[in-house]
Amino acid sequence: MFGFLKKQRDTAKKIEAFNQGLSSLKVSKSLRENVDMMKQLFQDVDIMKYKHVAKDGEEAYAIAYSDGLVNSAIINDSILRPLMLCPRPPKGEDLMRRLTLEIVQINECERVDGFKKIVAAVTYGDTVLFADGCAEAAILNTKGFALRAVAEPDNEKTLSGPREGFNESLMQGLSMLRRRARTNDFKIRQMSFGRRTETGVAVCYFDSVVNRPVLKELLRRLEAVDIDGVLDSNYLTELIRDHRLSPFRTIGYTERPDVVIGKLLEGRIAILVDGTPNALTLPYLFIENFQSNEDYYLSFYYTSFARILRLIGFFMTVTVPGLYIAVVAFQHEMLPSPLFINITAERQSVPLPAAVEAFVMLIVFDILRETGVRMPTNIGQALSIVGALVIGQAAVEAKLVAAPMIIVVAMTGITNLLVPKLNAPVIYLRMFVLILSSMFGFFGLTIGLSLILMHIISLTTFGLPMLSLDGDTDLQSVKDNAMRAPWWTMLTRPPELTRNRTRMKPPKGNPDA
Amino acid sequence: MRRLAKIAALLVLPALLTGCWSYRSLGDFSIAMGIGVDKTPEGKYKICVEIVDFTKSLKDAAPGSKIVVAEGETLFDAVRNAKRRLLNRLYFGNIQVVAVGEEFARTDGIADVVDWFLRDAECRETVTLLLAQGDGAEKLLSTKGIDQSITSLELDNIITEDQKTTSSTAYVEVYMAYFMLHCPGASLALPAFHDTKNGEQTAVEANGIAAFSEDRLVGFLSPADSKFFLLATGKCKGGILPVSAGGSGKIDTSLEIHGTKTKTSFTRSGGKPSFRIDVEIEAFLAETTAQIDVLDAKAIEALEASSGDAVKADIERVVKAVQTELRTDILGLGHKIYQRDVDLWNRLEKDWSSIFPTVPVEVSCEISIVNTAFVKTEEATEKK
Repeated sequence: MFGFLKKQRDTAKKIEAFNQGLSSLKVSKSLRENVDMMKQLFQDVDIMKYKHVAKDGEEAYAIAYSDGLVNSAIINDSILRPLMLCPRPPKGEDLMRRLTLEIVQINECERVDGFKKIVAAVTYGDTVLFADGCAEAAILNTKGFALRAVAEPDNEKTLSGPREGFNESLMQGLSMLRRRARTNDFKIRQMSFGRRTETGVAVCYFDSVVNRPVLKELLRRLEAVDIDGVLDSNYLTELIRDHRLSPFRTIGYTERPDVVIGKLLEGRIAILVDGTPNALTLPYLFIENFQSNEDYYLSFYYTSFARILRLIGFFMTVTVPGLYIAVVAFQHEMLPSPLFINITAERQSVPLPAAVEAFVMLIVFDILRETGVRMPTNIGQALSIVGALVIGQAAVEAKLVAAPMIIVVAMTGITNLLVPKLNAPVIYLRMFVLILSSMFGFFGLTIGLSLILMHIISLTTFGLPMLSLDGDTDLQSVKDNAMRAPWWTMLTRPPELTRNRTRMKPPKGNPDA
Repeated sequence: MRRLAKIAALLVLPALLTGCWSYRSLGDFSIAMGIGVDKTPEGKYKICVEIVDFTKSLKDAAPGSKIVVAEGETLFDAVRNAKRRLLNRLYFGNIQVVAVGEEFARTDGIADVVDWFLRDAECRETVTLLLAQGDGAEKLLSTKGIDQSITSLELDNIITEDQKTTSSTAYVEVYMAYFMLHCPGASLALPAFHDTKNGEQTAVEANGIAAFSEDRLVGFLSPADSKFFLLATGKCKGGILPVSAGGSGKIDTSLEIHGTKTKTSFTRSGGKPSFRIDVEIEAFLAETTAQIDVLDAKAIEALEASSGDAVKADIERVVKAVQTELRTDILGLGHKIYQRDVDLWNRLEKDWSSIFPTVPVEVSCEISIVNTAFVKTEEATEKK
């Protein structure tokens, strides 16, 4: 028993040693010792490659790199060739400095003396250079790994506007942002998360517009993150968001650099995570669920209408099943006589009560949708045909389900697609409203909607209210809510997000002004 | 925990807040669309309820209807007795019309019918009330109409559409009937219907207005007279005025009523009231075979004057008929006194039924033709 405890303590010690050990390991003066240390650290890592360079019959330099992550041409031409051809500088403290300055032809050279950085660099495609007689190593940029090409994101397709989307490389993502924001005001702070993955993360913002308290709070929360790995930005979202149990998002996400810059210009902060195309934007206001980047690229007449449709869609997808049950099972008086007769006729000899029918059909719809999402495209199509036929046609003709219920489910499903950013909360809200409606009719519906509204109003995002109803609104702050006003009228930034509110001066010389 | 308690309270409270919230499935109903009230020879209530017939498939045809007949000591008793013949309970929330049989209205009065339909929780206050002429309400509701397969829907549609286009009958909802029954100085006028033949087919037809004294039926106004009655009471919204434009007295022109305005004023001289009804009609010249030039303002003015006189005479005739033949104040003249001069009303109220037939009523009618359509009368153009 005590032996078991001891064993456990040993394991804990080993883990501790692993976590602390790297930072205490220093580069030694002896080339052999350094190479041995690398080999020990990367024991059983067979893709680790080593190459020695000798001068005057004596091993003078050694490089180490991960096969597959590096560009061999760079290593051959810019590291090995100069090292072999050039005369060797004298040993000593200055050796590595002179090597990086005079001999190695690499744009990014960093001299380090600890192994922690070396491990992080080598595993990311850099090459480490050791020299005999110098207690320093150099990290040389030789990255050359394969990446997915830059393409339009499938989840955020647009009719017009930029088609570029992030890929899995943090650096490429940052370059896309950098190209769009060519001022020194655009700040990029790099850090890494995940003890085992050391995933690179960049926090970007415009220094003069950003909301300082929010930035401070974000950095505080990021500092507290302690996790073994970060594979997608959602890991961070769930670790740092407000109201962790609310189904509503309190941090936004996008795959598009133009969206990120648009949000940054309004005073928000973006987080890019290496290895995922999804960037996070925060703070996240409730209205952002209904905004799309295309709203700003197309005519404001069209996009204002589209945005109102999305608001209606959200309302409908939550309430339609509950409303239907309230009307057919409780407040029959709400229906005009012809409709009442038709629905009653359809409901004759249908086995299940309307409320149960609604539950079953909504679940069936969600099953179909979920399978459709995960299936390969060709099977997905067959599935949707079967689903439409089975549910839409056969179930009604077999008198298993009443036809109006199909319409209700279809309406619910279609309106759901209008607000993809709310797909998680609406599933639960819809069921919540449906349960209340099947118990109390319209009273339940009203109470349900009130509770939902209360919840939404109580939500905060990094300390800011997500839906501000304080009555302290001015004309400028409603110009990008239910409708999108033309650009020349949106003179200021949203008041919740930033103190620096002036976006543009009132236009001069405008024919309309 | 406290939050949970709060949410639980919010969920339970709505159950206590309301009266009707129990789950009632649509399959458990027999939907009543109309109800007819008659009396049996023994003096019991005899009702017939028109319910929607769901036994046939509705894929190709509109739903038909069935008639359920029941008797009882009271109206509600009869309604409950009807359930004995039915699988499901009757649902009254979608009743379109309440038809009262002529015999029943004449001998028993309709006050209790109005009372029950207003008191019952399910019925709407806006149900249309009508009088079935002839052999009783059951006969009328059993008669298939021309358009709708459900007679009650047909009756209701006829009445609501009639007031906009024809003005051949009145439009009274149950709550209005209640007010008219209890309103000082006014009597109830209900739409009257009878069943008739439309070629080979059966049909229901609006047939003027039924006049009540208190809650008893006393007589009818013909469909043609109903229009002038509605003009006199300011309820006319549309309809056709056939007038003579040629000057020979021959009816050759139709004026379509576009809008009307009626002002009833009353003056008192020496404790005796006298009334004045001013009717203003805006009309379209809808049809004419008379040789008049519609572009000539003078000719139109002449037509306005002559047709105004003709309509005035008609209104006077109908008012006189109401006063002397029906002898019940469906014009609501007594109510005008009650509104303007309550002292006088208090003195007159007891004898109003004997005073009403004798009160002087002066009528004026002004017609303005606002539209004559595109067609020019050819002969009139040639003369120029």
